[in-house]
Amino acid sequence: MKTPRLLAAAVVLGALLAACSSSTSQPATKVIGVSIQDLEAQFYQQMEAGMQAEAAKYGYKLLMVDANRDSAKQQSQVEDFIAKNVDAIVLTPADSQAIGSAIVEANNAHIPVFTADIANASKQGHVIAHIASNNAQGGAEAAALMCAAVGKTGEIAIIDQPEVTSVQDRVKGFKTALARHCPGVKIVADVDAGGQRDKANSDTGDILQAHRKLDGIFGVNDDSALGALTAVRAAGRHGIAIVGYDATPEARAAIAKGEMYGDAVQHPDRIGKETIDAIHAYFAGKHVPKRIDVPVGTFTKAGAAK
Amino acid sequence: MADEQIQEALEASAHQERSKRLRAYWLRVIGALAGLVVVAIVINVFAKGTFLAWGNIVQVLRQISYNCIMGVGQTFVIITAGIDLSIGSLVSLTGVVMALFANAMHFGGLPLVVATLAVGVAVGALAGYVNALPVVRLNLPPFITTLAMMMIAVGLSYKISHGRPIPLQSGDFQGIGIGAFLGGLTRAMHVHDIPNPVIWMIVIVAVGSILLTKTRFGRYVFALGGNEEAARLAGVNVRRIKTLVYVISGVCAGIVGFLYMALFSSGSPQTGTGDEMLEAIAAVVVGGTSLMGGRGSIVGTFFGALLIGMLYNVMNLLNIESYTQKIVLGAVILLAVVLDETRKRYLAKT
Repeated sequence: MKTPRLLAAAVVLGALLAACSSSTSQPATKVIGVSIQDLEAQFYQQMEAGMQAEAAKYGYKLLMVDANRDSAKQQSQVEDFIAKNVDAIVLTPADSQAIGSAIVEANNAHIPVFTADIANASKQGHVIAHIASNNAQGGAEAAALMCAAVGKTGEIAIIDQPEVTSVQDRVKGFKTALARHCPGVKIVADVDAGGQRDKANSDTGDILQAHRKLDGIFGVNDDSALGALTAVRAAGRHGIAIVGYDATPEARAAIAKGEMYGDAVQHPDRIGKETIDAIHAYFAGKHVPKRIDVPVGTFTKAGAAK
Repeated sequence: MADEQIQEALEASAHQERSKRLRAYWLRVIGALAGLVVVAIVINVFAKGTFLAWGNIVQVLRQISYNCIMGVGQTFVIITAGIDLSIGSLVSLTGVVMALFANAMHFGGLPLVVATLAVGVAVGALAGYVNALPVVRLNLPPFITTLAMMMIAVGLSYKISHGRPIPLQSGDFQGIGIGAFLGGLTRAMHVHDIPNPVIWMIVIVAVGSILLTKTRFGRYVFALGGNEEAARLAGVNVRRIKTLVYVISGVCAGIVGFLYMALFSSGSPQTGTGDEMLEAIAAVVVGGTSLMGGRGSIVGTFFGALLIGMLYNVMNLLNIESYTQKIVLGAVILLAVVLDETRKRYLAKT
């Protein structure tokens, strides 16, 4: 008895909601649903700011939601976007494999999907364009800094986080460029510190024990680099050049003080901007490349970010 | 006459029992130490002499000090047959709160350092108290209540820091995190500097050990873990003791939060949210403390943390890649507890 009544109520409610939403949405304003992996992260906050500024320029409305690093949550957010019949969806996948099914659902609803910063690594689903930092080039920039700091020969270590795809690209770019610019500089250790400062600190301490003549350390993000820095200082070692990635305020301060040599720096705001630009081009019926690379710059004591 | 004989017999058997236990204890200590020495020498050969260098030994001690201090608090909790899953996230929360506090103050120097530490310890103690409330009032399993606290603390920590590390404006902390305040003494004695976190660890292990083995509170903790009902009937204020162990655990987390914040000159919401909590619990269990409660020691926890720290160190020295490291670590933890249990059964039989 109870179930049919509930069902009826639900149907009526659903119909009402549908009526409401269709009557309030204006066809002129394009609505873009954006689900970001983790809005607590500074990087994504800057990316969001870049998107908002550019969307305001074109008069687009952004529905910004936080997936909280939860792929199930992200899936239901995409389903919400589909129910609201948004004009485009931007995703920064919480899980680059699991995102496939959500993209397929959006494809079936004929809503164009764009990915920003993290790509769809599953074999399913069609993405119009992926907009991200060129991490391989960023790794190469870091290697150039390292070569400049260490010189022709020496020993360096990498504080790594190999389970992250963007970091894999960074390290690959770093190693390739290192081999090209200063082949005499050898990588004597490559440890996974999970991108965490406390683990980077303790792992670097070990590396310093094993390698008495270490000349440089590349931290794949700034927490890794800053953790390495405290370990170097605690061990009382000098002359070790530390190169990081991202140029967070703390890393910038350490570079300004000469404690770190330099950083590769991404431009998340530009990733956000380029994403909205790609959607704008798509709406206008223009050709959009499948992959849009946002260049990575460097930050050193001598000059501000380039 | 008969009474006297019985008395004598009783005393003799008690004496025998004591000496048997003492023998078992020394067997354990000597066995563990001998094993450790052999393993260390073998490793040292493989690591081309880097493992047993003074600098490296100090490095391992520095590394384990954080997890060991968390383990000390955790030992109290686990002996009462409880568990505290929130310690890692409390390290994160206290670190962020302390950094915000220190930056908001208008004084510096030692008063600032002491006040900041007090704030961190207070936040840790408060969180421990909240952890204990549902456990003692409603008899809820601590696994769930401290799991809830873990999420709440991480959420709070990210919220009040907006997800970013908070750099300390004052430079008064860095010396505590990185330096060695006994540096003058150790240099005069021509030995390696002892980093401050190691001194903190030694003091906390000593205080914790005395508290657990030499005080009435400690005896109650064991009694409660052995048999809660019996302890209650014997007049032990079970609620108070249980509350206190979670408060101690929270305080230890606060101290670790302080040491990390001082080390990095910044309070980061990310610190402590990795494998730290699990490694601290592993140190306690590898150190011979029973998850069923009633049995354990702080010194054991120290050696547990040392074993885990040495493993990481050795694998890093030998350049073993990280995925293999995790497998080896898991296997060793399993092996350690299996060996411990086997040895105990063997001793129980003889």
